[in-house]
Amino acid sequence: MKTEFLALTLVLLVAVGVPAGVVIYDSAQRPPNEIVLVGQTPLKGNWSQREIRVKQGESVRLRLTSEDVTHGFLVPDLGINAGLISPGQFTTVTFTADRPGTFNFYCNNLCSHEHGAMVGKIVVE
Amino acid sequence: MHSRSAILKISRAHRLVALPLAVLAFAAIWVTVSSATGSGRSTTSPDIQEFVVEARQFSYSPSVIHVAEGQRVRITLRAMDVTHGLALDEFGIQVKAVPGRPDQIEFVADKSGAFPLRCTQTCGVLHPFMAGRLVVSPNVPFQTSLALAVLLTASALCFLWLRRDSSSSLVQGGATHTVWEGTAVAAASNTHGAVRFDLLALRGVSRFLRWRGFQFAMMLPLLVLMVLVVTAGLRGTPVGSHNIAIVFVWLLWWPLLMILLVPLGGRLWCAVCPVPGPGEWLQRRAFIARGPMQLLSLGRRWPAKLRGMWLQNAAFLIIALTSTVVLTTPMATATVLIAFFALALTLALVFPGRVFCRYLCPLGGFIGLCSLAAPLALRVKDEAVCVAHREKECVKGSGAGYGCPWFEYPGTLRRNAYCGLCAECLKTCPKKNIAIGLQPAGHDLVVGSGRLDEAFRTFIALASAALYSAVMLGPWGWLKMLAGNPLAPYFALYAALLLGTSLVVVPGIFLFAAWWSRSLSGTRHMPATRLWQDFSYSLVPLTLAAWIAFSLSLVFTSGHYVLPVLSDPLGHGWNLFGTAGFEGGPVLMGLLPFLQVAALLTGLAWSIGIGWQLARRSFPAPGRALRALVPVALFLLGTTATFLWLFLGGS
Repeated sequence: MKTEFLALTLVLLVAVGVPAGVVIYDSAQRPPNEIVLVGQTPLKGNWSQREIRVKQGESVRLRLTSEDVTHGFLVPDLGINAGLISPGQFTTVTFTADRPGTFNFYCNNLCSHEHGAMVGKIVVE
Repeated sequence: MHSRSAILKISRAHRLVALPLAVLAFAAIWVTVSSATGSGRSTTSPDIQEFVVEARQFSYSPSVIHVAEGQRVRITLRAMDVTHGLALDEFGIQVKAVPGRPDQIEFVADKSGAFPLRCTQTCGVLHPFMAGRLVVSPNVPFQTSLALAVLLTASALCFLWLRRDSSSSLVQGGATHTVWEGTAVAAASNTHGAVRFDLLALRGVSRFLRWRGFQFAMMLPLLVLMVLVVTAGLRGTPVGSHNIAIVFVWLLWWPLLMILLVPLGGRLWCAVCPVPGPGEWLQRRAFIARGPMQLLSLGRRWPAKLRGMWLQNAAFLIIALTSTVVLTTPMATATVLIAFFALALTLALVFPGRVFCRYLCPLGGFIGLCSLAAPLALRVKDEAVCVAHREKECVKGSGAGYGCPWFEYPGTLRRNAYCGLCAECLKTCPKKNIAIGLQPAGHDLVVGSGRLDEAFRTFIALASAALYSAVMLGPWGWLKMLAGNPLAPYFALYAALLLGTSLVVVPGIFLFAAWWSRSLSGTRHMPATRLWQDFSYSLVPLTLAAWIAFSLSLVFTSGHYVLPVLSDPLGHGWNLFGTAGFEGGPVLMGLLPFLQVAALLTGLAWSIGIGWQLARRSFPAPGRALRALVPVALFLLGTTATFLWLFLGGS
């Protein structure tokens, strides 16, 4: 009976513990001020966030990746060009917006017929 | 009069065998000569040969580039839709092209053969299969291996022809088999001694297998992996090459299974697979201990009509149809696994035993078929003991363990096909009459009479190995297009192609071989379909070899993803063990074709050997058996040539 109980505990631990552990570790990996931006072609859902709100003068960390093909990341008005954003690879961009306003960000690497629609905006308040 | 007819008969036999042999010899000479002189296209050899390759999701155009050995080559890569790359691993070069910005590579084609061109930039769902081919002629590896296959077949047949009188031993074991020459041979019915090395003689092994916790101990760590795979499939990145769900399942587990576990251990995986675990634990109301005598299930009987492998064949075809998606999309792999767990659990509560494993699991059917060629086997030591022993705890169960969950009776077990090696009978047998050990590999292929469902299982496995190789490794973009999207209307074409080859073309060609075999052997009263069914077992070793060759390609080309994924299972940028940044490429690609050729030629020789044993079983007269074997051997040779062409490219 003792071994049966131990076995049950182990099975439950695996069934619940593994997914829970993964989720908890995953969220713990993210620094609090980090914004994850995932690129996908517009047909598949476009940028994971089309609008990013940040505060003027605050340092912002953008973590960029892609989930389908190679994209690019460009914010002309803030002078940011993160280069190619490839699936499975992560690029981190840090910036501080010193003036309020709305700045568009674009995918600047041809990614599909709808490439031109891959636009979002950073709103600095 | 009598002697004259005998002479006539022999000369007729000579003619019948001589013709195919002459064809083989001619083919061998032709292939050897053409490989020596080099049948590749002659180039006028300008200083440099230029190619512009356009890359689109998920093919190159042109997808096959022909050059002559020693030629200086320049390839300009143009990305037409999204960012692509092109790697020529054999020559250690690669290039990347962003749309609108072509780039080029230049090299000297100083090695002959066919080399894969591989996309290096994840460019969408089917990116892992985006491939082209560089053929540097003369394609010596392909031509040489083809010549070897022809010579191997010819010399095997010659060898059997010369030895036809000295070999008189019939296949031992198996039930009484009708021999189509008017006589029924009383088959040696006792397989006693078929298992040579009883592993249970080793005390450690014996104690471990007899321990009630054996299965639980094996399942638990694999359950951890499975749960991780499912979690990663549902929550991780959809980029297959960076998600453990794809990398561990299809680039680690599958090749290990095909290259090592199945050829050596047969159904060993079924003994440790965690999929039936939850259902079985519920059914038994115990994990390790022997639970209550009565299993917790509705106790229904599995319908007699559904016994056999037909459901498994259908399930395998469904998975095969969607394989391009399942192999590349983590979510799809996770969904399939969840479906397996759910189905196994549900069925366990309705029917006692392992109904899912035995009758439904698509992989179970596949492994079961290949396990016929494996040396590891569970058998009884002495069938007479079982006959005399009436209690049959191995079927009914006892205080020490459960009745066979696979619905087998060990007392008459002669083939690996449906024994899951769960070791329950080891625990229940009061006579200690069970042995787990090694037998001559392939022994199981020649015992027992042919079954139609198993024959089709072989045809499906063979055809899908060829189609998988063509779709996933070949340079044909249109094929990937057809196979890539199960929701598109043109997918119907791919479905027709897969189902047509598996269920019509391959069985059809083999039926023709069987029909030819019948007329060569001069037994017209014998149904060709019977020969067709019986001889289908001779295809199993070659089928296994083809799957090994295919899986080797997966390991060599994409195995390097295992290290980064180990540290970053979800593709979320973790780095658990510091290996996340490992950027390897394909390794030892030069070795791959040799291993593939070795696997295929071994499979061919082995298959011909099995074919011979099967022929001897149906035709006790060796000359007649040999003539019956010739068309089967030609079919095997043709199959080998097809796979050589798929893996090593044309000339």
